[in-house]
Amino acid sequence: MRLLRWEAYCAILGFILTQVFVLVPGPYPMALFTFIAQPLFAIAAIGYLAKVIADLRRHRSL
Amino acid sequence: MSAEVSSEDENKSTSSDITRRDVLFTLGGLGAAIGAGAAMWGGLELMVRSRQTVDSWNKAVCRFCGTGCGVMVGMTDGRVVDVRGDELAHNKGVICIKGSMLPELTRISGRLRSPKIRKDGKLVDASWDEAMGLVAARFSECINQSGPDSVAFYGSGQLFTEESYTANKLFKAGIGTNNVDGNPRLCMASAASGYVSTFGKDEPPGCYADADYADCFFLIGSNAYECHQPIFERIRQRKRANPDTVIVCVDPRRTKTAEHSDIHLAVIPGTDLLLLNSMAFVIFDEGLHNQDFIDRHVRFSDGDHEADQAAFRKFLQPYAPEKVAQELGVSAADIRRVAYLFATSTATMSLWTMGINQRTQGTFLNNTINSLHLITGQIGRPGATPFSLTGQPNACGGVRDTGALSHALPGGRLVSNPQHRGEMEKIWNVPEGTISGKPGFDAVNLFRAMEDGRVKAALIMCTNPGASLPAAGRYHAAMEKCFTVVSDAFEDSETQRHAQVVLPAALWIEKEGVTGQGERRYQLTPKLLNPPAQARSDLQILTDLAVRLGHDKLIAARTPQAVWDEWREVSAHSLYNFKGITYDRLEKERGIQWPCPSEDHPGTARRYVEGEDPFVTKGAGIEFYGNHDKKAVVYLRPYAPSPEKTSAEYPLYLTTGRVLEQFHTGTMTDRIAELHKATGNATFDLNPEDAHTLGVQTGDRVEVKSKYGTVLGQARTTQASRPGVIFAAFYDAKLLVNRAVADNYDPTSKEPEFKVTAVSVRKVTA
Amino acid sequence: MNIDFRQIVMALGTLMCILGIIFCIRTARTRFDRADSNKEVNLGITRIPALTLARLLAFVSLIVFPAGAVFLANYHTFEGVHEVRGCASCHVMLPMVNDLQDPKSGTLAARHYKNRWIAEDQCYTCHSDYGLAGNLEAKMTGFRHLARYTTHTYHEPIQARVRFDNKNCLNCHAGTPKFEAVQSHHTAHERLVSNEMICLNCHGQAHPTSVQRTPGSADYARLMERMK
Repeated sequence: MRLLRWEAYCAILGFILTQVFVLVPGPYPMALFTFIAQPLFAIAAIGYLAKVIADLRRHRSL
Repeated sequence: MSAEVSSEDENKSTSSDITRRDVLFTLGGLGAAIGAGAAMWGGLELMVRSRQTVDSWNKAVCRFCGTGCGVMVGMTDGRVVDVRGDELAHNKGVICIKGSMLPELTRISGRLRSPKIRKDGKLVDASWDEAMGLVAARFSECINQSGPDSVAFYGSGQLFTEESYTANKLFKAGIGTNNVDGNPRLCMASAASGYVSTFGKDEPPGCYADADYADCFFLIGSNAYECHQPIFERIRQRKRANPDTVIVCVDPRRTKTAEHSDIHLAVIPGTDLLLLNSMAFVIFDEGLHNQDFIDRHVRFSDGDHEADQAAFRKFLQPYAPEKVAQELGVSAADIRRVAYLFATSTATMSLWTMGINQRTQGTFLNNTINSLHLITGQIGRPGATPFSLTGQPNACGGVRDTGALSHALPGGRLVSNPQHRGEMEKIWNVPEGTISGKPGFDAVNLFRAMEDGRVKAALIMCTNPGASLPAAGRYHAAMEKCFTVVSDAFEDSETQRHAQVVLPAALWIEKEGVTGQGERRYQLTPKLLNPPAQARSDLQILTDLAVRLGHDKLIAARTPQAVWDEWREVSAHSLYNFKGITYDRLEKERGIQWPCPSEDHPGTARRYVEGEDPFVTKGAGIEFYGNHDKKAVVYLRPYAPSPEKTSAEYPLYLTTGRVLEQFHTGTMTDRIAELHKATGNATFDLNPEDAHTLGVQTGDRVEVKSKYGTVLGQARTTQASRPGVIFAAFYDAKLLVNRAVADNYDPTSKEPEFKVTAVSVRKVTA
Repeated sequence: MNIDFRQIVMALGTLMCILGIIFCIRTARTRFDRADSNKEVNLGITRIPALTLARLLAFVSLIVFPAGAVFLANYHTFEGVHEVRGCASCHVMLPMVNDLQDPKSGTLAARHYKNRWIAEDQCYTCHSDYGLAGNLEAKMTGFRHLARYTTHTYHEPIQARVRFDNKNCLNCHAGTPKFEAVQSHHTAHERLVSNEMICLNCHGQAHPTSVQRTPGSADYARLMERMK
């Protein structure tokens, strides 16, 4: 892999939303965390893992 | 991380700017995340939705007592799976254990499935045509040969209003006899005659919501904890919200109600008019009366002649607390204390049922309770009211208001009044003179007339007089002698055993109709199930009979709604006007209290109060418009001991009543497993002192004997019974306590005195 | 005790998020194809190749810290729903909370509160299904409510879809002398335990009725007032 740009940016967005929720209790931050931040983390992780697996395959480690 | 300076710079220099690709992918990621979030939501919607336990919730009314709780009936696949209290109805979602068991009621076995005719001493299945043909033939025969007064109708406070109204019309304006009576005679007649003589019109002026405002509750002759549990729960809620509230309970027994009250006066059975008059004495003596209210709204009478306040006070002299305390069995101090609380509380609500009504002085007792409220001005405002609790779900709406009693006509009219008869003949469009001027037989006298052959044919619907009449055993033979036709939902009642024809009836939500409970509220029960096998609604049975007897034009309304609309119109010609209560409104609203003269009228919570009651003259404030001078009457009612006095031969008082889990003669509730298990078989409850004297222990079989009959049953000792008092509930066919109960009755209301019978008790060794 | 715990969670969560952001920025700026595996980084106690460090960082910032943040934030959610304040944060719940704290109200909630029969976390004590210890269904219900509320796709008056579990009442009341003294509890024992019959049948309203909570009703404005 060369870059993990968008994955990192997604994760950053996720962290921002999570941070807001951790500091400010309330239904809207909670909803943003639950329904948006969590999927963002998941998507970032998936993107990252996809690239790692592709990498490992290329080097015939897998 | 301090050492990686060089590599950092290298990295930084080549990967600084965010490219368009990055932004695109990031936004794509964000979009995908939002999509995923939406998918999560969608998944939740689908997963959570499937847990509904019930297909539909339907608004209905409980089948049991006179509280008339609104319930929600949960149906799935055409079966009743759940019943909950209706939180939007007057009872605010509260029902009792019996109401909670209503799903079972629709399922238990023992339903009558086909008409039966007695042949050679046994009840044999027959077709409807055969049975109704026989009934019509015999009734016609009796009417033709012996006159209309040789037939009778004995109805029930558990029939729908449409049914009682139809029966009343058929018999009084069709057949032409006033032999129309019913079990409300055994239960509410004294309350009705009490209200009518005091206020000019029947029915409680207040409402259940008054319990939310009262500071003093005066319960007398009522075991509301067990018999009107949601109402007592409401009283307790009031006390929880306002701890200064005082609950006074007057009852010979230490009932569950007494246990939850603040003051319990355990009076000797039959003596409580002494208490009430004594309270009136104290109220005047200590200047606790409301003179202004008396001057404006009250008139005095001794029943036959006008009287005045001075005469009333003179009449009360022998009732000073010190003079009556001993006969009452309570202390003079207690009497004064209760009188003081009654008069000086911000709002006092009295509640009573059978302990007051089922007495030879029932009418007098009712009058005097009403009078206590009148002399203290404790009436006509939230929390201050004399509230007679009704026993059955439709005694008020179905029988009292429709006038389905032997002396009455719809809307408070009397058969003995020619003007009233003329009014009804006109309204019902029958020739002048059709309605007889001779009052018919009241309950006890009706069965006596069956006994001596004056009544030769009787139709009994939705009630079990074989178990519920006083001196019950005597009237079994009467029912066998007469051509007795019984319509009932469950088989093999004590009454059916002595009938010649038995007809299977629909139960509760197997038919549609209106009931009127204790606070003048009319509510609708919808039809949610089909009756089993060949059972039919009592309305269908009555209209069928009407047609067969040739009164098809008179009884033209054949469906519940048609009958209701007719009765609505009829009511508009009286002060019992509820023309505004249409089926449509009943379907949408949680019942409506009458008077309600038009469809935009919200109903009347408190009667005789300006602004709430549409018949009160503007500016009058409180007006007892039921009487010609717009005043209520305080009567001078002298105490007379019950004809049943204990003696050497019969040294104890027998009193009867109900328990929470069972309703009346148990034909419904005793068939429900949990309820039967909860109460077991009925027992004779006696005080340990009496038990000791008699050599009786819990579990022993005893014989309870009176002048009227003998009953065998198991004894149980309990502190709840006052020494000298033995109690049994009447739900158990195996302990038919009414066999021993005296059938003396109040001369005005004709209501029997179930509460006071002199008995002897003896242990049976066999 | 609880508060300390919650504050620890908040602090940890903040730390994780901030570090996560920093590491992610780091990760975003890293070029992983500069295969200069020989470049080494001195961490003080050991030396590892720069690429390895970058890869480790990526792993931490995209898997470890997000997992940690998610865990902590969810924990924060399930702890937060314990408090009455948490329930009150959705304004549609205000009628329930206002009624709870109304000394004049006769509802079950109000009575339990007024008499201090439940010391704190009054909502949660009866609606304990929502917390970590409760069942999955209640949690799903809670998240469904969250989605509906924040997108304003609900209708007032709100009504529960799922049946209230009697266990929430019986957990405290069953076995007590007062409970055992009531005959009807024994009569209906099986039905109460199996939820066939609901405790509210005899004990009445827990909260204001749906009619009272309908916009336009006489009580609505009063119930919706934000107290304090």
